[in-house]
Amino acid sequence: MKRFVALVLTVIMVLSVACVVSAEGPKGKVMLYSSMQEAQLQAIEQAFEAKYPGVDMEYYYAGGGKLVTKMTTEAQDGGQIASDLVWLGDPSDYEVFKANGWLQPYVSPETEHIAKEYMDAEGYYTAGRLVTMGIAWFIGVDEEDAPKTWNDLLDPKWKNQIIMTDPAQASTTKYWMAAMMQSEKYGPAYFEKLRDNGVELESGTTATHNRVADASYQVGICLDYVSANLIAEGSPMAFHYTTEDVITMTSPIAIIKGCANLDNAQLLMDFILSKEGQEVLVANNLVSVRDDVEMKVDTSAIAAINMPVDYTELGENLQNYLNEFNRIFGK
Amino acid sequence: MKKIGGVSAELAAVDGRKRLNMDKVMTAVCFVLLMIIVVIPIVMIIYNAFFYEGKLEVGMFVEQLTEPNNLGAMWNTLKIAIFTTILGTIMGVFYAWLLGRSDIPAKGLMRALFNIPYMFPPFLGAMAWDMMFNGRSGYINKWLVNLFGLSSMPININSVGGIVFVEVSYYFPFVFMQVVSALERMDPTLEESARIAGAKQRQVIWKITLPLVKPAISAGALLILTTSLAHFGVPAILGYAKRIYTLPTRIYEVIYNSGGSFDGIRQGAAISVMLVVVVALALILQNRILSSGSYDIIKGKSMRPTLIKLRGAKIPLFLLAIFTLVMIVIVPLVMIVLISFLKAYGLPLEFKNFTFAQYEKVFSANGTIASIRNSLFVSITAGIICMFLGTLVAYVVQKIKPKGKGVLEVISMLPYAIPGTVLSIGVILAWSGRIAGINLYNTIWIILVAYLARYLSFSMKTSSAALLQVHSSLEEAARVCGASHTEGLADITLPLIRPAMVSGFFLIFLPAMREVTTSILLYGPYTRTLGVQIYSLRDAGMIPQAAALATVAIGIIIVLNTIVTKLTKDKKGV
Repeated sequence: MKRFVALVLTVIMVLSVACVVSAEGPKGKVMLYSSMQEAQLQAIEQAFEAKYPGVDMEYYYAGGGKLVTKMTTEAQDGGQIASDLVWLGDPSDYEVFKANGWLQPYVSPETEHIAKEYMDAEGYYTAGRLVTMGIAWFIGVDEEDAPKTWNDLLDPKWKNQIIMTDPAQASTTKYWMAAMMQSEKYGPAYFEKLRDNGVELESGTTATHNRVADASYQVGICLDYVSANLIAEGSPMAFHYTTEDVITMTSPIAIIKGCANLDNAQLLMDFILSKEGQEVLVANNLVSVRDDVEMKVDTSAIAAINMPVDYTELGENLQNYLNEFNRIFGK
Repeated sequence: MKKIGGVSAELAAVDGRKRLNMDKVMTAVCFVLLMIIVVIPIVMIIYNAFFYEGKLEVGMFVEQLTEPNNLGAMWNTLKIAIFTTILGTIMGVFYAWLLGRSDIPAKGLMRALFNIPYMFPPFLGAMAWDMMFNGRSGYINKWLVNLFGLSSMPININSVGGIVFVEVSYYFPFVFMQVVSALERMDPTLEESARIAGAKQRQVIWKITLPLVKPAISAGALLILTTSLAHFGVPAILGYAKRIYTLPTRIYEVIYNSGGSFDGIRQGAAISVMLVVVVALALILQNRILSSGSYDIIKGKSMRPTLIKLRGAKIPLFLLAIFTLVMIVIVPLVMIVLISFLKAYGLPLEFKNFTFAQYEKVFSANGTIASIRNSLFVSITAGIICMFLGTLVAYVVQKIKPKGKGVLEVISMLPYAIPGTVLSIGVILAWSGRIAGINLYNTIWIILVAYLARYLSFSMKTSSAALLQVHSSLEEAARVCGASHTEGLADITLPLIRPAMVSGFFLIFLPAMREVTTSILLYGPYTRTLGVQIYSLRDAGMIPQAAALATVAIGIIIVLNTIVTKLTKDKKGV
């Protein structure tokens, strides 16, 4: 009997201690809509839940276009978007979200390590990672010969050997295309030349990369992290950034206005932007936005050759640029 | 028909008001359920296509209708759909007859194998074809070039012809499955009497067998047509690089381009209305064709149909069937399985590049097991509910024939003509608390409701074709012998159309197991489906892992298929 009482007491003590511990940390749920790849989201989820065991992080994954469609449908007729945060690839989408009144401003304390140009001036969104467009090639091509600049793609030796994603289907390529259209150096004339060199279009970002890996095309206009992931898996392809006019996107993260778990949303955003969170991303072949995270990629060197982009003009004329592209490619 | 009407009227008199009530109840149930499942989401879509902030606005619709890109896409869609339907129907009927009615060997195995292409996730199937016959890098193309010393790739799958070919190899099972079950239900004495009267084999086929299974053929053909019209995967994978666009690829483009404004969704809905109109026209056409002639062919005497001896043609036809199987089933299947063993996509298919790692990854990933469980639950439930509801609708349309039966039929067919994304937008608008406070959003039930709408037409068409073959004299005979209306239905009609109901179930269960386009917008944190799981792997570029999961999916489907077929076979003997 004594033993039993002792046991009961111990159990009660352990339980109460456990309760106290979990009562200290934040509790509840948090939901993230994201177009990032699943493996990366899972890595974030594990790291976040390890740090905050009381919070159950959920994510909903789909391609950028599908996610925006889902949010738009949810918000129709004054509905509430069923997520706490959203993290997509293309910054220009966020200007629309902001105008729609979907976003809740929040400036994370972590942003002191993040460059101002990676954040919205009014604090509605902050870059969560960097995505850069570059050139990938099938390993049958020597790195020496692989195109190093956007203009190298116009070399007749690549005639009918280049694949790119249809900008109408993928927001990252759309952004790249619009930035190129905007620039005086390239403009619509560049895309006319690209078309004349027999560039073909794929329906999705990953499909484009796979077309290079299976040697359907020698060269592709590809994304750094998608290529890095495929290369890490062992796909027979290689990738490098262009040596001039690099175009980088800031894949922003934002909190949804009126969301159910505002505190936890801020907590998750802080975590993703923290050194710890960004290191999880880097371990998964992504590029950090912070200035104090070690990476294989030298972001400052890339930033030095970044092509200047006028965001406001880009946001306003995005559709015009897309129409122009469609006209050039006879769509 | 008058005479039958007379008998029915007399029977109704025997029953007094009971029979009328029963019919009325069934009719009312149909209307109410279809209203909930189909009409409300579609009304939400159409409302949003034509009304802007509560006001009627047709300008956008007209704009979409006259947009040259849409018209070009419309033309491609029609071309692909019509050729796919014609070729798929011919192929389905031919093999259904060969395996259902002739003495060709290895029938059971071949029949099971012919259903396999229908289980492939279309993107993987199209990808398998693309890997073999891509005009740039197809494995078989390269092999043929080496073998015959050709100067260019002999076959280019990235063309309208290629798309039609791949779609045919997917969709001919619609006709095949329907016709096989119709042949099973057919009264063999009709063929025998023709033969006794001196008809030649060919004449029997043309004059007796084919006309008798006409409802099944046209039901299957209509399913091919609607499916092909609304299909996204194959044209997107095979046609995109060559700028072959179809209406569904256009719809997805405008919707996913909306970037957070509802206009894109409205435009997508407007283009979908164009598709729906085409399907409605096809339905009317089909009703015209079918309205001539009577098709009550099951007259009650159950008999095993005589198998036609192929004699000299046996070996060549057998070889043809084997060749077809190998080409359209085995080779793509093997291709998918081989990809699933690859270390990374793009590596040559050589033994040193093979690994089991993809399967390990698939099973250790979060949510794989849950997604299999969810998909099994939704597909089986949707399959069973649709099987009964579709049969109910078919019974009301074919036998009770109330006012507005045409409306019932059209309503149940329409959702399949609407691309998955647009349908799921309608379902979200309808069932996320806007109507009577019913909120199914982020639960498994919203996926189920969407699947019911999407797949109802399959079972409705199958059961409808089967019911057309059952003469009402059978049920009436039971009634004359004192059976109640319910008993007549349960003991006579239902058992007679059971093979068709089962094949209706499979027509739904198989594609629902790997469905993506609808569930991708509807799944919630705990209700991920297998299709979504495969899709997200593919989207992340992990093609070998997607192939591994698809292989697992196909395995599960084949096992379940075998079990259900065995179970229902036993019952048939009773």
